[in-house]
Amino acid sequence: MQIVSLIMAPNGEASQDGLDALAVACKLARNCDQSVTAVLAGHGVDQAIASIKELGPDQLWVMDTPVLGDESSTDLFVQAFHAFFEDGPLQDSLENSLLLLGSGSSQQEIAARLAARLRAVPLGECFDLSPAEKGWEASRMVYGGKAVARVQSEANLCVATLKAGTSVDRDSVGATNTEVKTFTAEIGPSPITVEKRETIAGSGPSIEAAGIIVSGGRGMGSAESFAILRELAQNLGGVVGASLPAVDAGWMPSAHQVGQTGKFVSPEIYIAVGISGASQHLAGIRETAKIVAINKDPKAPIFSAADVGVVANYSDVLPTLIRELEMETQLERGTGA
Amino acid sequence: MHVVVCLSCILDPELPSSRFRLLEDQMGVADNGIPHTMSPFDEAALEVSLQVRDQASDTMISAASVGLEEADDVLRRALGLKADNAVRVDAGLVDMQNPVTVATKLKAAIVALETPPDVVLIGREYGDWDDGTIPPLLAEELGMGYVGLIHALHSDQDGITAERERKETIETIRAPIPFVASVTNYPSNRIRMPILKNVVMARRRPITLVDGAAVDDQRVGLTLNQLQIPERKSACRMLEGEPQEQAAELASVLQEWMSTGGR
Repeated sequence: MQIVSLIMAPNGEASQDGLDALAVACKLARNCDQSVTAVLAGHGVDQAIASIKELGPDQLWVMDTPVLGDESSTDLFVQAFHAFFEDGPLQDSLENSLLLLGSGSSQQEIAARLAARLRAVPLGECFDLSPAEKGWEASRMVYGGKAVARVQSEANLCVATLKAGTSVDRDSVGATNTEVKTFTAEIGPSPITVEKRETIAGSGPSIEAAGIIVSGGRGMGSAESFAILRELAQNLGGVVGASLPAVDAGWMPSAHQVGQTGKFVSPEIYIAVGISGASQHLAGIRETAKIVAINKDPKAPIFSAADVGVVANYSDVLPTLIRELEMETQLERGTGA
Repeated sequence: MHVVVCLSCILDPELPSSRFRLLEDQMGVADNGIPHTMSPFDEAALEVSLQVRDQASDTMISAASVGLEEADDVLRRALGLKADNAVRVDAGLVDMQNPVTVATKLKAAIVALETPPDVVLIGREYGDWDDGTIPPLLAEELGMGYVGLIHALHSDQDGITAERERKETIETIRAPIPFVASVTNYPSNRIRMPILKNVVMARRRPITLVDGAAVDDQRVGLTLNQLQIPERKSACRMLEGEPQEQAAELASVLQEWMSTGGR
């Protein structure tokens, strides 16, 4: 049995999601007394190697080549990992094994395509992975986040990605002396090419890194009404987000969409205005966030997920809220507090 | 050009959590009488295919689905928007839980169409059980290239390009046909309204049915042990009084949270 963690480093640094998955893999391996191997693919990966060694897998295989320096070309990473597992050093030792990647759409694509090419079973986006008597067990969100499915596969080889937001303790993994080796994969050019890239004007600060998010949903009613959310966000030093219906309606760019199929956000405070609280939206917010819900519908599901609830029209609440916050800020400035 | 759109039937995503119940054995959802609908991502995929036809009127659009009889409703919706063909492969609930089975059956649906596709479009998550695994799996089953999370397609003299948003940039991607692309929702691909006459005519248009049991899937499966509804946070503190009073109290709460780091 082997637990193998796949990490990408197109710009030389191991992705955070990849390191999280490696930490989970190391903990799993320690719990079932197995070895853990990391396979790193990228370009100019010295920094990535250093980060991986801190987590202490038993072995680290490195594929470092210029063609893997393009993070857009998921195709090339699929080729590289496929070559590694099909023709590489582990090809005869993958019985009852698990390949684990971090969270993200590229990682999902790689996991699925690798599963097909290696005749493995794709477990999907998982958390609470554990070995079964034969094969592996994992939990997955289904029905748009309304339910959790505990699934199992007895397949010889399973491939999974780690669900975004899974809590990971990087400090408690082992401090083994990692053996570092290199592998050269045969990678042909990808037929899929990026012809053009255009920066989206005015996309603003990323919501994924924001500590405070003020988010609007269908209840906002129009693009113009988001102006008051921008004002509140500015006052709080935060960023504006949106639910899927608000993005669909064209009121906010999709880069600001929060949810299972939007961005996963980890703010300390999340203010949901005119958002019903559909499971797929809540699935995009880290559980530790403090949530405020402002909605005129007292039965909106958001209130069962929020810490503080206000049943009212946002237009009756937000102007006063902004004024009160400004007054308090001015008071603090005045007293030097 | 032949564009195949894979459509799935899902539980209405707007369903309030209070109406979402599990069966007693916790192996399924109590969905009698619960409305089913086309997923917003499948709607986006269908709209993208219609936009391709807006650009090139000789484009053939085929709608394919895997699922129970209720999936015929989403196929009829595509026919009501003047899709040229519709095919469904029969599949039960247990089949829908395994992405490999679904991908294999989708391939069978596409093969049953006879004319090979140039582009296969599929919503970024297929059905209630998928989280994005099925689209790239389908590409591998079909032996085609794959582009994930596009929101538009364009054709020019050199072939086909796809547009997708990635980290605050819009990428234009060129892919040789045939390829599979997963589609995500975007303001430019909101599904159009059908013409009533076409919706009425769609009721009489045939849907090819393929026996799913005859589709062979050799792979060892994925089995469900149990379904659970995750517990949400306990009591929400509901503020009281007039809106302005609640606003003032909320301001205090926010200031307290910010001064203690939101914890």
